Amino acid sequence: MTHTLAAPPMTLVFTIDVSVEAPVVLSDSPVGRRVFIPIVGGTVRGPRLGGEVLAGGGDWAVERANGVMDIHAHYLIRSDDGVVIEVDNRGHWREVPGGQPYFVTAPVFSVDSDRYRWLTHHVFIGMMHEVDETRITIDVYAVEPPRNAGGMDLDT
Amino acid sequence: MTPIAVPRLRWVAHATVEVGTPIPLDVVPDGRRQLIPVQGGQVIGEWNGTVLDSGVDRQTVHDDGSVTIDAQYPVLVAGGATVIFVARGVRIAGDGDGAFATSLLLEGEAPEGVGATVYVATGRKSVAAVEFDIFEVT
Repeated sequence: MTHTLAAPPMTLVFTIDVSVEAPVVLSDSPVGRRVFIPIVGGTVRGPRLGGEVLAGGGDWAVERANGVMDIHAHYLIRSDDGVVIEVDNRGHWREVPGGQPYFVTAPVFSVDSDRYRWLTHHVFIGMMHEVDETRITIDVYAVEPPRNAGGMDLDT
Repeated sequence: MTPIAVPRLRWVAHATVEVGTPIPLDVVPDGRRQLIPVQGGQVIGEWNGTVLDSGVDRQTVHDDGSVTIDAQYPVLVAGGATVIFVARGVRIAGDGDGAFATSLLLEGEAPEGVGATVYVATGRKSVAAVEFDIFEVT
């Protein structure tokens, strides 16, 4: 038996503007290639979080011969109040006939701070946009979870 | 703000996943780790699949009672090949009926229109099974 639920709502919580450098090719074959794209900095701005992207992370991406790119970025953010937040962001890029590319990820955040506990208590979707070869912007949306009495709240 | 599309969620399937007895692991700085065996199940909707008896959810149970979900299990998608469901998310303490949410990625050669897509799953956990709805991010 199939139950159809209403989709949970999503809220834009911040935008990450990531600076990247030229890809380093790790392996190359007829079915695609693996590359490392260094992340060298950036900013975080939005209603729920402000900060900077720390240099030293990167995107271990797979460019498939069928035109799909698998994203797996791992890097750090430091909030304006000095808390370091780990970002593990996986997803896909692919072309869409007659439209904008599908460039969507599901970032997972790790942080040891009560102030930012909401980052570990939600599921997030990243709507990605390649500004140019050196900049990627990510609109990060929090997925509102199924609620019960006493459930989690973005405002707490 | 940049001119990025606003995400939308579209229901595509309902899943029932059978789980086994938790296997305690160790205590780490983030909490207590345990393994949840994934032992079978079904995905029914716009596309169908059979959950194989070979997966695991590597959970971390935190001091506040929340549980970090980090599951990987193979699913034989009807009409296609076997893919790995990669589900990462959270179950929150105080949700007496075990409500949880994860993102869901399909690793492997998924059929056209199913793979290279990000999904969101929301559902509930009972003792021996996990039920959730799968939404495509469009």
